[in-house]
Amino acid sequence: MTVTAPVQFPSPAIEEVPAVIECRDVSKKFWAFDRGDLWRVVFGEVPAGSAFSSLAGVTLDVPRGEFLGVLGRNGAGKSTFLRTVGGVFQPTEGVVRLGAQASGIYEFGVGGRELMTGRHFTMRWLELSDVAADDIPKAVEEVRVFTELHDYFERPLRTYSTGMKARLFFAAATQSTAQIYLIDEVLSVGDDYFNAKCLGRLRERLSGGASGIFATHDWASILRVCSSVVILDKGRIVDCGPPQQLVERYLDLEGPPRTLAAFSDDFPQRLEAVSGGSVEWRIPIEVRDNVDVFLGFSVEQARKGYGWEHFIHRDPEKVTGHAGQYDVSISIPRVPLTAGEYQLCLFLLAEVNGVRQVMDVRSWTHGNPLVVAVAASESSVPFNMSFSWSPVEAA
Amino acid sequence: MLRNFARMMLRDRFLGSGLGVIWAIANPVLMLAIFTFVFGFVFKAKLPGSETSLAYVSWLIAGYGPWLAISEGITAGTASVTSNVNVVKNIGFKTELLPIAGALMGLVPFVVSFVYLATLIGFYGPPPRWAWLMVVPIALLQFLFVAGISLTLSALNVFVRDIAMVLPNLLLIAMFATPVFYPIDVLPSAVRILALLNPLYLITESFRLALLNGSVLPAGLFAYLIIFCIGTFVLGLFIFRRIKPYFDSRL
Repeated sequence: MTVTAPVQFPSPAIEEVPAVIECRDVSKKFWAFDRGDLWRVVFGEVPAGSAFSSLAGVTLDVPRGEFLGVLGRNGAGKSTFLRTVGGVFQPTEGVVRLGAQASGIYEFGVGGRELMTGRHFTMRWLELSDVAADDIPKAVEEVRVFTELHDYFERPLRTYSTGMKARLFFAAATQSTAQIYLIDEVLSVGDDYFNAKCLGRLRERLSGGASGIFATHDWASILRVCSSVVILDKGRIVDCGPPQQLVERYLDLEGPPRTLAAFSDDFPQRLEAVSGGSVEWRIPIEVRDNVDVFLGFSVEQARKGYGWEHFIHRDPEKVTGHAGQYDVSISIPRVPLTAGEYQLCLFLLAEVNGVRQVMDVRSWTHGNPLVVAVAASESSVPFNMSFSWSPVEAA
Repeated sequence: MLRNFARMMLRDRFLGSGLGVIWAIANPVLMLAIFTFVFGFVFKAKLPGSETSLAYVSWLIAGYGPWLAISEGITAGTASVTSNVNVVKNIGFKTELLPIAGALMGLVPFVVSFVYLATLIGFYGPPPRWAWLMVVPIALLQFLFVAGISLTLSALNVFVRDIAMVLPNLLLIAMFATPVFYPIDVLPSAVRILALLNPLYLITESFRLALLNGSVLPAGLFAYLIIFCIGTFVLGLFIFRRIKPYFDSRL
């Protein structure tokens, strides 16, 4: 991992969009606090004891309508950062400016005593989030429906499972109409069904113009929600950029071996196609031994708020059995893609002792997929799905 | 927001009990009823120059009621930050509100003892007087004083948790050092000057004067009390704000 700190985020090109979260050189220290320090503080001095620096010089902007992902290992400062942005912690140095009201989900069980019922908890959360008293009954009802806790909504929290608490908590915290969401590791507890529902709600909030920061070490959910990512390490931003690339660097994946076969260096960086038109892409490869070599590919797209989707997929097929330079051609007669940017992922394998081994890869998990730009077709829609409908008489 | 916090504390305190918040009223009522029974019917204690023991009981309650309110408020206020860590660590808000809401808790026994006493006096004493309205400014002063102490102690308590432990003992000592259970005339004259400057005495005494005599403190003492209470509040706020940025080092 290359370390260039501190890094300015986002890249200057995006900076024309007004930022809804602005952090300038934000640092946060925690003091050990010996007894004498308390009196020093009361008399306006700085504590003399040892301090732990949890955040150091974090500078970043989050534009309106975007989610920023914060990746980092345990203790990297993710939670401290979120709390500092949310105003729960006061930065030791630097400034945090928020352009809208923020709703933070930092941990489970905010103000929740185990003896409270789900309803009671929800009401408390909404009250503490400054929701107007008149709106509370309606909001509570919406939370109740969203959590799908049914009877449990009226039972005390101590009878809840962790996942149920997570549901209640997420539902209550995202109920308010805040424009900024600061979310720390919440989606890691619920079941798949509920996680999908939570992502659905975040997507809804995103399309409603909300922004936020999403801290996690679950890189997969970052790919689904965030439009950019920073990596925190020891309280500093060590890397930033678009999620696909960052996730790969974060995972610190080992590169493919490229021993028996590899993609050639004079590889195109960007391929073009027209929606519904025919296309032929030539992939230069180099085979270094007389082994059976296979090539597989897929065309994928990562969409903000939805995750990534496969559009075209082809299992590896044998391309050659001898050493040499080759151009493998991939041709698609009628490109079944609508206009937009896609990624072409390529997998080159070689068979050694009857086992296929990956030799070289171009894919988003390795941060180097090929960009495929699909232009809209001038003549017509690429594919029509004929359908008809007629109203059904109510019984 | 302050009201929400006060409601939250009130509910938390009685969370899980069958009667819930009713206890906030039932507890002081029971306490005052026990006092009435013990001193009014068992000991039949009398004030000098009065023939009924009810006069002593109402005199006692007129002082003990506000005292109960003060000690309740200070106790709730001191613990307010540490016992609501969950809220402090998860919601960005003015933490000052917590000890202030804690101090508001003290107003519950204050109101309860006022109503109790008014009922008691209604049975044997003179009809209600305009002077009873003095209770309102006294309650306000009491609140400012308790909030000031709470702000200071709640902030210190984040770092020195022993404060909440030693507090009940200190309050007990303060109660006996203050002429609440005994008239101030009992004290030797040298100590009496000190007792006169004790804001706890002045608050309880104002309450007594308003309800039992229909009078107020001498202007000088009253002015002193006002300045003292406002000063305590301002100083408490100042100390709290000094310590507050460091809360997260310990919470």
